[in-house]
Amino acid sequence: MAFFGSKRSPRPDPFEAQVLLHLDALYAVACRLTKSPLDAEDLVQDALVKAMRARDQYQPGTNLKAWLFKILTNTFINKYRRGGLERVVLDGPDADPLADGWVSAASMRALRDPESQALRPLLQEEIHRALEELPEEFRLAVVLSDVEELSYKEIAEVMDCPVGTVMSRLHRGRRLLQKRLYDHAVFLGIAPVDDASDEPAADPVNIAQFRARKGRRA
Amino acid sequence: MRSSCRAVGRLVESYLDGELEPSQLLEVEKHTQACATCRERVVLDRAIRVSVRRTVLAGKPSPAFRARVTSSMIAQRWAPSQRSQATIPNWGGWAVAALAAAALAFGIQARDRYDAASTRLSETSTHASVGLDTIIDQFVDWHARPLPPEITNPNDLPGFEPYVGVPVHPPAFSPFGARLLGGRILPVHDERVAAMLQYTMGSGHRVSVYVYDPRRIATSQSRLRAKVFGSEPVYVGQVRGWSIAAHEQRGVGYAIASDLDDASNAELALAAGP
Repeated sequence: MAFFGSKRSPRPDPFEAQVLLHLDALYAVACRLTKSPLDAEDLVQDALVKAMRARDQYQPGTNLKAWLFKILTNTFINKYRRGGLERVVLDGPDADPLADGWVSAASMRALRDPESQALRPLLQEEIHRALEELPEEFRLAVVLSDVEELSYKEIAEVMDCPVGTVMSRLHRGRRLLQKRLYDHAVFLGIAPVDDASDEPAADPVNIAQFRARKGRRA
Repeated sequence: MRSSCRAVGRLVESYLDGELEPSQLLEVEKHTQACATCRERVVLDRAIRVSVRRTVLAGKPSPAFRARVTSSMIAQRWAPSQRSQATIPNWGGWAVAALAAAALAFGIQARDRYDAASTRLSETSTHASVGLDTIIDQFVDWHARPLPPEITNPNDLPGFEPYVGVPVHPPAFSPFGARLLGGRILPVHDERVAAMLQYTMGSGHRVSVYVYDPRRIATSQSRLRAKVFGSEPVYVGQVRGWSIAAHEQRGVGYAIASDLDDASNAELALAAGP
């Protein structure tokens, strides 16, 4: 067959086909990183060209999606953030934005839609803005976990940081997200104002202990 | 707040992330069965994740961008591999070890892993609420604004099979005076892929034939209506003035987009199979 005999014909390329299966996911994450569909397109295209050039370095059978996200993140940092992902130092009361147990069961119930297993439609619209306002490090961790369902270990590899840092970023990102959604729900009058002052703040997740446990397991 | 609630509250995130060991997982489940507040916390955390997922996955790359990316990737096929780039991770190390351990533990073969991954992606896509009607719209868009074919030799068409997942043979449209202009692969919504074959009929009408895996692109579940032509059911419909007809033969899906009437389109769909 001419297709397989010709040197420059478009040989079937399973790697390319598998990479294209992740185009939607890469674009979705790129949109969150760049906050611009046009920049996201450029970023994904640059990343995929790099992935094609480096295809020999991919180990077949390993998580291709995580490998591609790593290239995407590195490309984003090189192109837009020469100093690394944007970091926001949180001081004062926002340093630990929300301790566990910050809000009553009634308020939590008021935030979600019992029918769709998601947030109430009014809050669903707020998610976009809430995500955009998260510091990049938190936003990327949350998207890689909640949307792309990567493990802590895979996210750590993509973000080039320890697993404990991933857990911390996820925790703080999610709490900031919840706080923003709760405040918006109160503003809209769909959630009651909770007086949490009598609730002693619980310690945040003890990352060191968790890591030690995970370490023992491994 | 009870101390047991605090202890469980610290585990809820990792519980929902699937990162707890079995004993901790049981601890969370036992507690949330008994404690309405913590149960509500789990439900809310899960609801926020569903909403985040829906929001993030709502933005889809345009067909034009998909085509551009595909072209730029194809252009890299003959580029020399670059081994020392700062942006390229060395993906050996832990990933290989972890995967090998997982494969040993669960006895999963490589192909099964790939299938499992595809299934998970499909499930994720369902959360994004992207309907099959969107795919029908894409078929129509690509027909309305066709991109030039990637290949023009009919003998090369089976080369699309690894992408599409089903045999890709050019339909024998010779009774209709058809001429094959060429074909290309197109990544469809939700990480699915179809082959597009472009024809000019003897009557001068342009016809696009999409070949796809009907297990992944079930046009029968779209807004197309089932009609019987001869003794065969064909799914037909009109989208923005274009006709669409879809039919499955021997496990391969064929969809026809053209400006012909439903009956002519259906006739082509029936003739598209081997």
